[in-house]
Formats: sequence, structure tokens, C-alpha cells
Amino acid sequence: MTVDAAFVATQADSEPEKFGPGSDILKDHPDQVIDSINGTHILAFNAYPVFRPQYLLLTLDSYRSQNEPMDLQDFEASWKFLDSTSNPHFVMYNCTKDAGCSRYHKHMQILRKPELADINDPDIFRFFPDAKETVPHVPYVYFLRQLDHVLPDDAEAVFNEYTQLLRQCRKLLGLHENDSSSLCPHNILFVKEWLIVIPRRRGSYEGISANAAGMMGMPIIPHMSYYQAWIDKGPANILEQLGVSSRNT
Amino acid sequence: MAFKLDEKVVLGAFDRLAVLGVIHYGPSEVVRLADKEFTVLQCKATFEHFLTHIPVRIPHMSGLVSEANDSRCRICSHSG
Repeated sequence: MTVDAAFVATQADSEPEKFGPGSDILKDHPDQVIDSINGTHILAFNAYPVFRPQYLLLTLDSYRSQNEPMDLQDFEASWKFLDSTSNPHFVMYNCTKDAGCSRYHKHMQILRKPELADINDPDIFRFFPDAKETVPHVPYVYFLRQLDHVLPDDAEAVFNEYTQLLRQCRKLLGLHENDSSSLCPHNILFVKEWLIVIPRRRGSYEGISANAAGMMGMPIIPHMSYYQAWIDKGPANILEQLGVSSRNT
Repeated sequence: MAFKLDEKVVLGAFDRLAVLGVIHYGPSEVVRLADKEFTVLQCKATFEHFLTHIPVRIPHMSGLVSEANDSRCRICSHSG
């Protein structure tokens, strides 16, 4: 081995382990991996969670990119997870950096659904599609489908609903509805009862960013100064800037 | 193939990793040093309330597990 080759080998040995070649997500500990689903996805703990616990559902093919829309296998794995727990969860996906993604190895995130058990308590936060007694004014355009008719093992039906919404999303963003080669920034968030697609114009506005959960009213901030920024700019204004304004539609 | 998640077991594994320092609350070392945890801005009631009012901070499972093994927020002690 040459000196240069030895140096490269030493560097490679000392590099932190990731979730496969091409991945930009660190695997900090072997126990971070929980299971595999369908032989297509890895279920792991998010090592930087907001919630306890918070899951990553990564494609086993670590060259798959967050710039791609979700595909049928992604829905099959996600849907299987949602069907496997007694507590309701939600799945979110941030497609492209302009939709709030920070890592490019394709991954969904799964978290506990907020406060569904207290759905009759008006003081408890819930996602607005669950607040059926009110019609909220949402400052951005979104596409929503109810999934009540979907059977527990029919992820393909969910994928088909998403595909239709993705076409609408592309049209809204000025793309051809079948254009699968151009980036189409959007958030996806779904539970067993409904699926929402949110077209995105940008990932951040005056330094404030939001992913799918943020667009649904659960923004995550890295520091308390951001809290003040949300207050100063106004949540409705920020979300309108991050999404496509619903004022002109 | 059937897949079933035992949430109790998974939560135990999560807490073990948190104690080991594998699970970090915070986006980076720098921010962790400054603040140690994310905060979730979560409106108290509906989405509309969130849009039209100053959001109320209801920390949600954001306590440092490794410190107290509970999920109470260290700011307001909300139990999450």
C-alpha cells in the first residue's frame, strides 16, 4: 500500500458510519436501527428528535434522494408502520430542500399524532383536517384527501391518491402534471384517516424555516430567538410565504 | 411479512440510547450548548388559533431524557 493509499484508508476508517453508501445520515449507534420493513426500508431512531421517540424510515437503497417524490414502496412501508402501532402516528415527508428537508438520503419521519385522544377538547392542538367542526382559513394552498375508505393493507390506494395530488401540485407550481424529472417542492403528511400535500415555494423565509409538521402548525425551532421571530413575523404570514398563497386561488 | 412495533420496548431502547448520548435533543452541538433542546411551537387550540394568535408554547416530550428520565419541560414543567 502506498503512503497516499494508507492515508485514504485511515480516513475512511475514521469516518462516522452512515446509513449506507451515498447516505448523508449518520448512524451513531447499532441500536439506532429498530427493524427493516418490507426489505425496502430501515426503521431507525432519529438521533436528533423533537419527540420521544421520533422515527426515521429510510430507503434501504441509500442512493435514493429526498428530491424524489414518494413512491409505492415508500407508502407500503409507511402504511405498514401506521397499521402496526396502537397509538396513532403520522408520517411526514419533505420533498426537496425548498420543502424543508435537511438530509438527502430519502427518508420519511414518523411521530406520534398530536393529542388525538382528546379530540373533543377544543383546547387541545390537533391537525386542522381533524378539526371537522371548523373550516380554518389556511394561508397556503393544500390538497387534501380523506383515506377513510382505504383498507389497512391497501397502501397502493393511498399512493394512487397521492399521485393525483402530486399532479395538482405540479400544475400549481407551473410544471407539467406528468413532469417527473423536474423538482417539485412539496410536503406530505398523512395519518390513517387523511393525506395532505402542500406545495412549497421556498424552504425558509427571512431565516425561518418549516417542514411538513411546521406547515401544519408545529414548527420546530433550534433556539428560542426563533420563537420571537415567529411571533414578530406572524405564523400566518410565514406559512403563506413558505407555501403558495391561498389569497389568489 | 407482518410487522408489529412494540412501542414499550422501542421507548425503552430510545431512552437507553438517550442515556448513552446517542440520542440528542437539538440540531447541533452548538445549539445544544446554547439551549440544549428544540422547542415545539404548538398552538393551544386550533390551527386557526395558531395563525391568528401568538402561539402558546406547549413543550411536547422535549425534556432531556438523560437528565431525569422524564419528559417534563424544564421551562414550564408541562408534563408533555
